[in-house]
Amino acid sequence: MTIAALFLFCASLLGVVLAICIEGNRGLDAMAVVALTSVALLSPASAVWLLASSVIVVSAMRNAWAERRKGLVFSALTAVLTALLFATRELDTLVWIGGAYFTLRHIHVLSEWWTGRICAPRCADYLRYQLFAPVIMAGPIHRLPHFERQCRRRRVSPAQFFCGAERVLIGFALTVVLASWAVRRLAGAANTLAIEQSAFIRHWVDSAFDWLHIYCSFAGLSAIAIGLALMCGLVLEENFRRPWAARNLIDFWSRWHMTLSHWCRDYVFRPVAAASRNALVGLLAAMLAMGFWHQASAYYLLWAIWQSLGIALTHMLRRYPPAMPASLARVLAWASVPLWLTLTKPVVLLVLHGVAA
Amino acid sequence: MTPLFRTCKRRLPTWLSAVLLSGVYAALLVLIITLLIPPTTFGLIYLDIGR
Repeated sequence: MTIAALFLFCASLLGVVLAICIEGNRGLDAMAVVALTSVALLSPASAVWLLASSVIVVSAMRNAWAERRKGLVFSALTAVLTALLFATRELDTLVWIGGAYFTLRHIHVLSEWWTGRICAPRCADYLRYQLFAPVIMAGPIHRLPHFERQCRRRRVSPAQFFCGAERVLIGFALTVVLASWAVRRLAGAANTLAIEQSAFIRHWVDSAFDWLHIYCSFAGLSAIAIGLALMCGLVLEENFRRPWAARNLIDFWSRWHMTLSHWCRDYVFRPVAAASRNALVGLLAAMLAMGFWHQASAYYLLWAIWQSLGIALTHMLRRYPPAMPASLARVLAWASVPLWLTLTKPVVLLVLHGVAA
Repeated sequence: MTPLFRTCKRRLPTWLSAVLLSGVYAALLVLIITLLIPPTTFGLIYLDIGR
């Protein structure tokens, strides 16, 4: 965990104290001010980007002219926001905080508004949603209707406070003790053992520990955010639901980084599959969006193709199951998940190096 | 009642669950703080107290 992450955690904790002490939405507004100030102290450019984009998005949605041209406004703003996200990734001389998360939240709200599922939110409500301190750094990518419902129902209770505090402690244990300490040491030891092996095996071992590290650190950060929100009386969407218990690859992607995979399902897979009348094209588009959200590179292009292939194969095996006992099929399907996931890195690197050679 | 406490209470008496969980919380807190603040920082703090 970096100093910046710790600083943002302390700011969120201050925000939680304010949200507990001040009743209603004013408490959450005070938290938003603390969040914006802390982001501005760490990265002024990110604070300007977050604030300006939020104001522009909400002003556009509330404009009477835009009300008659929702499709145009949605397309133009989505294109600009996505381009900005990729442009900031190239400007690595500056520190950027939370852009990957708040851009997806903007697109979610714009899309829901365009399809008529929600009305244009008020500026204060929208800023409260975008500047909710616990989720700024690492999500979850929470939804506006759910958040507004939670704000209306918000009651601070000792029971919820202690449940949230326990969740924060578990989150820290996952991130600091398991991810940053235990898994790193284990990975170091495993890499030393595998040093004599071929590059493919070394990448495979590396990949297994990468997944474990990502799970521990990211599930930990999500637990911290969810716990902090719970401490001030808000229940946020879960991000991980026991991904190791996934029955197959399709089930895995509905348990792993759920808020991102649900976002890709709703705003990429469904529209693309509907427009192309081909679920496979929608799947590839959704996986590409997920991959490029991490990084726009050849590695993530191949990553997306590999994951799409895995899901397509799972669908095919479900439709035409091989002749074998049901219990064996279940065990094989369960075991295929970690196998397919850990093979991602060695296979992609093999293809990339093969292409380069 | 927190989720961990509820889980403990299902299998153990309340007093034992409370004692056990207090120990777990304390151990986790110490471990997290120790890992978050590297030993060099402790060295500097001790040096300052010594002065």
